[in-house]
Amino acid sequence: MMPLSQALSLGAFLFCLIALLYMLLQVRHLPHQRDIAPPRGRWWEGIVYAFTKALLPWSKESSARHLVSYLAGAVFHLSTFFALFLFFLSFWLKSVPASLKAWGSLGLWAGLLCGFGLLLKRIFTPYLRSLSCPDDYFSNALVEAFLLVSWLSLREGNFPPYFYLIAVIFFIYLPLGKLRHALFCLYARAVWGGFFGRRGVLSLWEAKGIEER
Amino acid sequence: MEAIANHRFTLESLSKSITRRLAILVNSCVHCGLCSDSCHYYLAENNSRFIPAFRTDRLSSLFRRYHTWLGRRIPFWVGAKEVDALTLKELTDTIFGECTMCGRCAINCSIGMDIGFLIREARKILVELDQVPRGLQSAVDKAVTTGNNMAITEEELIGTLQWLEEELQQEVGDTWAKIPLNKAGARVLYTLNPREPKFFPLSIIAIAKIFYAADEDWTLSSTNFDATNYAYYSGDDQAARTIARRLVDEAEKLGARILAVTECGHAYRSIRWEAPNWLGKRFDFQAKSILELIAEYLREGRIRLDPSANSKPTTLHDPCNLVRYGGVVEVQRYILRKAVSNFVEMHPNRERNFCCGGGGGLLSMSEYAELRLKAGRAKVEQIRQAGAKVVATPCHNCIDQLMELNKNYNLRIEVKTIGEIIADALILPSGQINPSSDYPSKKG
Ligand code: SF4
Ligand code: SF4
Repeated sequence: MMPLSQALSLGAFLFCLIALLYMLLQVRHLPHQRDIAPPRGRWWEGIVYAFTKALLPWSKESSARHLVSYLAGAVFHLSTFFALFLFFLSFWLKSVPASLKAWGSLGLWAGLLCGFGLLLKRIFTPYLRSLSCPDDYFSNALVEAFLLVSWLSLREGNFPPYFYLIAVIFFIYLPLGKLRHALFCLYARAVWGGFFGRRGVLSLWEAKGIEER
Repeated sequence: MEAIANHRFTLESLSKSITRRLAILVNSCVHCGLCSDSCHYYLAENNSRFIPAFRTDRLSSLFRRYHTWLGRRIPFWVGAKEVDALTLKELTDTIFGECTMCGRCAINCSIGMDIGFLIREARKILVELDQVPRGLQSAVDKAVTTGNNMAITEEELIGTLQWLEEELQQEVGDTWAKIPLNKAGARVLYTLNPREPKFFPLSIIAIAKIFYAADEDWTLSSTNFDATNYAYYSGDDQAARTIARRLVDEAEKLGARILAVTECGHAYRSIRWEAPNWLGKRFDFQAKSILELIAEYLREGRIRLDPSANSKPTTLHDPCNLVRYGGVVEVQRYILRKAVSNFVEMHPNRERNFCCGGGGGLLSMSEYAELRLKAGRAKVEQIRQAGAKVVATPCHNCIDQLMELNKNYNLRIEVKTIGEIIADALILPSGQINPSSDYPSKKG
């Protein structure tokens, strides 16, 4: 029999999945104006650009100027994906292999440090503080709690009930607050790439032509 | 109180018409603040109310209040706000007075938020709430009721064009040189910014001269000549549709194959990209920027230029609606490299350029003039760093703002349209290089 904490976390994950799917369907049902004007560039090129070149730290002035924050954000996110991977793995793993323990701990610690740094930046930088609401702080803290229990689990070599209980809160909160950007930001990025790609503004190659494509 | 109740009612009914793109964006911002210094307002004022995300949050906070589970139950937790928590004046100032919808932050957002789009969606709401600033609304009203945003009558325009035709004939030394009007079957229907016949008529001659040298079959319309569409800026889709339809009908009536838009960023964007959506169809003609036609003439050898006629260091300002939102990025560079002997780029440029501060309809809203000029500081720095004596820009709105910046910041530059620069370097069919290079109207 599956322990109660594990069962609860699976239930929470299912809730999260259904809620996100519901939101996705809701959004898909909203009226959408397709661009009718003949394209100048290729929409797909814009989307590929959005998920590749646009992510490079030096490709945007904003990320180049705020390199430390940008990289911290990237590490924090990668580390969260790793913690999620661990969550799913935990249902199969009897014990944690030594290599996963070492490298995983490193990754989780990096994520924790970066996330904490970003939280401090949000608290102490006036312009960021003015942009933030309790949800911003809580979401960050919740993800960090998830990273922390993931690291503790790795250290102990097994996944204790508190790991799953934090996962329950994480999955239940995800579709309700800011964390739902996990879904929407992918969508927003694709829309952004498609829009500017179609207009011939974003190009995967350096030189843009002078004629309409 | 009653007004607020009405506003809330309007907002709630408007929320039924939320589009997919809007819903995605209002759910996406993570408040990372990385967009802050991509905005020329924030750079000028260094105040958090000018962070792009702060502006869009005004719209998103309403969305969260009425459309999210937490926002309905614990609004403060997710920063959700009711319409009465915001003063409408504050909302209007933010949405109309403090953003040019230039999209620079959209290119820099870590998620991909098109903030220019969001601001226009917010403007649409303010149209319904009757909050469009008077100057901007008046430009829209004039365009809807008289056919152009400066209420120029047909007689006035014809008078001006007759005078310009005589000037043209003198300049090219050919009494057969014409500024054709309402010519059915002409290949190109050329459209104007009403500021040209009203204040800068010589920019019409410049283009007429290029058409003459290229032996183009072209025409102007005496009634539907206005390429601008201020309803794009105000967020009034219904008026935008009416204005765009006139141009489309005119091009179709005259049987033009190309509708060439004068050097005006938002006019190009409106007719090239937005009008097909407003009118729900693709057009039988091509909508092109006049720059694209000029580049064609150069490529095909239909016109020749002598760059030594423009020897002063010349830089280029990229209008946001033509470049970042319009995709016309390289033709102006191709043209300028052939028309001037010393072309220098500003940095950053192309889709990363800084807005001059004159977009978004800001030039028509006098109540925000002081802030508009302050916000132009990023552009002023770029111009200074480029070290140019001439700033070329293919947009009449940008021209106006750059001329004001020139005066206010003592830049000592000349501001010119690209057409004027080309006309100065044009080798006429007679072999003569255009003698009249002096356009006093554009010296700031
Ligand atoms: S669209 Fe332009 S003016 Fe508006 S917030 Fe973004 S950068 Fe600033
Ligand atoms: S960069 Fe994008 S996601 Fe970050 S605060 Fe600005 S608009 Fe929001």
